[in-house]
Amino acid sequence: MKAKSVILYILSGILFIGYLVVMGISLDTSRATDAYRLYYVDKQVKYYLSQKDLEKKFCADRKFVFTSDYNPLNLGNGWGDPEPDATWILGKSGDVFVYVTHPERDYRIKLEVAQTLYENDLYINDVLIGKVEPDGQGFVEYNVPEGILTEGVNKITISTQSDVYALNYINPDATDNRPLNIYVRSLNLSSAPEWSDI
Amino acid sequence: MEGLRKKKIYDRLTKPSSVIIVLIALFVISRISMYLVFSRSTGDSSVRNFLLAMNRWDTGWYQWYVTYIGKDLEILHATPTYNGQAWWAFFPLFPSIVAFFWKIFGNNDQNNILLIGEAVNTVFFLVAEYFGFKYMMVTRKSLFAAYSYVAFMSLGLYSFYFSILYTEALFLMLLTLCFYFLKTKRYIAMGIAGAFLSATRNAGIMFVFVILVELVEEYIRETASFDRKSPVKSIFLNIKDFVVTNIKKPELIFGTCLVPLGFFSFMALLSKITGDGLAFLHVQRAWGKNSNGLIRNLKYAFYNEFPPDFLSIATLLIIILIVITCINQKRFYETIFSVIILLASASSSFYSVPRYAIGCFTVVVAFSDEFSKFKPLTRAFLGAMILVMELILTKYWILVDPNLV
Repeated sequence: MKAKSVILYILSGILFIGYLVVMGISLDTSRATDAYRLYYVDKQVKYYLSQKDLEKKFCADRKFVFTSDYNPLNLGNGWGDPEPDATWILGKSGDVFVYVTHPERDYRIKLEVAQTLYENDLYINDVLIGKVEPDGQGFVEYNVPEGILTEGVNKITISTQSDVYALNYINPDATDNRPLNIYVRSLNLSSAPEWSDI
Repeated sequence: MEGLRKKKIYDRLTKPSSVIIVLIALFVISRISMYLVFSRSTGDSSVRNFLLAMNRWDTGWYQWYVTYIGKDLEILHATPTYNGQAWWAFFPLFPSIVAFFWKIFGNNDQNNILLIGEAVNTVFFLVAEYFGFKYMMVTRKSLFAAYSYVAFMSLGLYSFYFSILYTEALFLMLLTLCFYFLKTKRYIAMGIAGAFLSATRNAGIMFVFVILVELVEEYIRETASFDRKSPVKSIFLNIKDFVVTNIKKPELIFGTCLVPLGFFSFMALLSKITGDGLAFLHVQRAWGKNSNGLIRNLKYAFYNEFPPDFLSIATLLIIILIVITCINQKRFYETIFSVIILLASASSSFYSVPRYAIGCFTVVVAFSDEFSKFKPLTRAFLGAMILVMELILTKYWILVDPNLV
């Protein structure tokens, strides 16, 4: 009877320690893929991408077209649903995530803007790259300074310092009640002179 | 003479064979009535179509889940969809059991997953009802309350959930066994049932709080003494004595430690597959689950969105029922489980709150106890209302209306 009790106490101890170990391992998500962490843990992207997709499709040297035909899945928080012409950032900022395998190369970032209602800045990994001031064709283009891009997932942010109000608050004639900021058609981060669409 | 006759009837009705006959009869009546609702609402009299049509909403996920477990565990390599929905939102025990039987009897036909799932769940449900009856007799010692419980589970609200490809029946069976073994102090059996319970749904791990509350209640009832002159010292001594008394029960300690085993095993598996042991929680984002909390959701439903919808009213009625039965019956170890399930389900939205409440055992147990104390006329009226409401719910379930379920 005593031996049985001792065995039960030992088994209970083993179980208890096992639970602590599993809990400790479970709270550490560093072994999860970038794609997993982006969607589930950090909740930074609107859609789930597999790691393979992230590395092969949502990477540098690709042009991301933000229209409903293409519906790019690497849009982060802050974006509305893709529309036929482009996609609005709703509110102060919107993120896009791009996978980079060779950060040592020279990169150029190019934005195509369809409409802008506020002054915005462009950031890569939270470092200011420049103002979003479209030229006559609606393009914004910058060289990416050395050392900003990292191997793996990089965050590109378009953000305004201004408060963004619902359109029908600024313009009583408007019916749209969304806080429209900037209407972006495409983005690419390229180390090559040409790129393929996605 | 009259007393002897009553005792004879009592003995006959408490015999296991009588209980089994009654619960099978009630089950058959309820499923025939569901079939009649199906054939009247759809104009289709095929029994096979009825059995397949009862499987709605998440049954598609379970069917997919079972298929890919059945295909040499291919599910372990399945990636989430673009909207983030993934198989690990659902705990693995139930689909694994169905996959096991499907491999043997399924002929690789996906429709057979539904039929096998229904058959397996029917067995689980009947076992759950049988032990639910025994639990009622142990805790309430009222034959009427025990048979009321069986009747409400078979014929009462949302009882269709216990026969379809959902985890409801397995969860109910394991939970009932946990409560029954806890009250009969068979702690290792309780722990084994609890380990399977926590591998069926994450809420299963919450049974450890039931054990704790039951032990505290038992200690206060049987052992605790309170010295009004030095209350702080008295509380401290009681807590110390409570811990010492219970730690000297190796079967209780081991049984309690077994309860989370299923839960943590699944966490370990998820950690290996995804690198995130809490993946089953993080994946809830894909289903748009928020965590507004019960109070904010109630305020929204009854103030901002007035008049409230059916599910909001049902949730409020469940809260009232839990409060009344807690005050009247003072079985806090039961109430704690009802409250945990309510808070966990109603914190994001009121969808599925009635389903979780009915499937958490303690709500129907407490209601059956109250019901048995009503006057006969009240019982007849309330019973009839519940029967009719269940037929309406079944109809809207078949018609895939989300507003009532």
